[in-house]
Amino acid sequence: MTVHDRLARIFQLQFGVLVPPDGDMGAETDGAWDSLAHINLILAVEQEFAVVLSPEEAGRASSFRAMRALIESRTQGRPA
Amino acid sequence: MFTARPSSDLRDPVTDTSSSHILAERLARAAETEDWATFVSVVREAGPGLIADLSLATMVQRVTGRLDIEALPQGFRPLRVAVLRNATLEPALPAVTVALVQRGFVPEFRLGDFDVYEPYAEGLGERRREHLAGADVAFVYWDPDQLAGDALFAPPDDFFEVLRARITAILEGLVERVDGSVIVANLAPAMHDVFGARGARDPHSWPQVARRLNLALADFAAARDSVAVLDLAHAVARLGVSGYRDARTYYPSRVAFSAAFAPRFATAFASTVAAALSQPRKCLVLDCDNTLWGGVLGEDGPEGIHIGTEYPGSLYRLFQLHLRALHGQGFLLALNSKNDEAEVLAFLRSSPDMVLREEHIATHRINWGDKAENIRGIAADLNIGIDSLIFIDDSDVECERVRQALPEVQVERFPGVPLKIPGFIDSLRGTEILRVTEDDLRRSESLRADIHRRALRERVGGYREFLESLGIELAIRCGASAHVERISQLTQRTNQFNLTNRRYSVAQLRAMLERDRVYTMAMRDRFSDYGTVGVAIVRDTERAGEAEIDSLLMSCRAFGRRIEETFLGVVLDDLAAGGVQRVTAAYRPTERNAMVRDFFPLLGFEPFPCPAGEPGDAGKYYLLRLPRDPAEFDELPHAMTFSTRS
Repeated sequence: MTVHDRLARIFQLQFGVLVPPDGDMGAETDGAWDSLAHINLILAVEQEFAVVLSPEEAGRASSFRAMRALIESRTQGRPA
Repeated sequence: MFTARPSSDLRDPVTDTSSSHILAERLARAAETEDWATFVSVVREAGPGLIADLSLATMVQRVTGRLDIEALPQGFRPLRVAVLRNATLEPALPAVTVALVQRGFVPEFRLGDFDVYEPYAEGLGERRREHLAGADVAFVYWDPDQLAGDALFAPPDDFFEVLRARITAILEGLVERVDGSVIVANLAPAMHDVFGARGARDPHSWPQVARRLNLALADFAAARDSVAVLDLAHAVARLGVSGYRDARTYYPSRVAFSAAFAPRFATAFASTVAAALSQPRKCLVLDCDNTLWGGVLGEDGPEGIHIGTEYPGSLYRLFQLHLRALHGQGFLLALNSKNDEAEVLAFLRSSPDMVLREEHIATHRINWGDKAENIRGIAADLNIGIDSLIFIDDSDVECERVRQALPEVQVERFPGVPLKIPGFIDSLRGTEILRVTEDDLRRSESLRADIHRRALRERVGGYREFLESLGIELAIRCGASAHVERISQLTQRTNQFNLTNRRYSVAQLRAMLERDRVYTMAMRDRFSDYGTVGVAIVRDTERAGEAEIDSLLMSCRAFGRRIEETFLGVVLDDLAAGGVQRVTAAYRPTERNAMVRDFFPLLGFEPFPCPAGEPGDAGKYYLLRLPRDPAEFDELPHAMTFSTRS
């Protein structure tokens, strides 16, 4: 599975809705994506991709696309 | 005081992602079709791996939030948890939800305002009273750094006393205000350790103040029936103090626990809840070869068996020590083994290294037959329900056979690797209790006496003659407040001979002992002393000269001896002597109490229309005019004494 697919699965389990194919989903537009959900999401992402994100990185990853870009940059070159 | 412990590192985690995906699909399918019974069963069977899977646990929490807690699937009950806290506990709640569902609770959390304790405990304001209203559990959490504040760095000399007084006052207020249980987490070590070596010896340093507060919490709980302590300090120690919080979430958002610790907290929380609110199982049914000892008795011979103080026998010995301790708390032990009966019994008697002996075993089935069939026989021997049993066996095949044939039995696969035995012991569910009563201590003894009694029964012909030959002595009391814990336990645990199945906490019963007539009956016979075995609770109704039987129940150790007629007869005569002319009674059917369906009509009670305010289909109602007709009762001439408080 690609980073996109794995991340989309986490979002689906977290929010109970499908991520749009273009990945257009963000904390500002989605009411369920509040600060507590964000903490949960970051912890789940860290678990899934075995990465450690700083509070600053986590704070910037406030949309699906931003999160995907962050994880791709951190997992580049690693076997999937 | 009860101490809850999280499961050990040695418990196999379910980390395989493919099984996580299969689990996700099964859960998603059940949720889509709103098949809630399947959903909660899949969660329950998924094991500890699901507690640690953040994404799946979040989904489980979201979906269980949609369940109607008034109409839960069979085997599950709602758990309303009101939380008082000074830190962010929300990220741990998915794991807590899974751990609770796995123990048969469907939780609903109400989280209190940050740093607010006294206003809840004192009931200040409608919104805060509402927070605690109807709670099954009030959970109190103190983040140590927040509780101590800046004083953590230089505690004043009276800091321990100040905090002890504050914590005690809050907990006392909650005990007063909450109908359910109060669960308080003791203090974990603080994030900041500024004391170094001084912290272990200076009584005024924060580490020592925190330890003394934890001892004070234990004393507080030990003296109160409705308070349990979650041993957070112990759970944290198992993982390591540096790992239980995550600086990245603690400092920005004051999140109480790291992602690594949340599952351990969840397990400890669920285990404490189970100890406070669940009925424990009653009997452990044990395989022998590679469960009680290492090796196969029939093949390796008594000399080749691993049991004793040397590894690996030492780990089987550890399990036996644990079983003997459970026996000492009133749990029954039974053997269910494919073996030669004479060989096993000889080994129990003569092996110098066995901890368990014949005297600890209430009954056994050692043969080459079907283990599920054996379990039915064991339950019948002990006069307890199949759902009171835990079956422990190292064979996947036997475990699966019993799971399929007897789904009510809690089946636990014993580890094949001896080093995993300590983890197995730590995480064994169904045996959590908060305290041990005197009757618990007597239970096993009286059941062994049953076996002698049965031998006598075979010699004596008729059943009536047999009962008379037992030399039964009954002591009936009204208002025996010293037995309040046992009375509560009987209302909680008695399922078969129980007319109304009303469950009462010790606190509720204390109030009833003041207000109502609470009768108890103790029994002994030639073979043993059973302690308190019967309870009847009678309350005056609004109509003059009328009383209602709120509860009538008899322990499974006692019924079938025709003592129930004597008991109810004494109760009715006492009511008549007190001026009561009419007694109403109800039978509320459950899956387990069909045996008493006709109890009241057989004794001359007449059917009576359903009283106002009760749902029409909830049961059958009866009326008896006093004084009763002794001819209806056909009592056996048991020796009997009656005493009353007033």
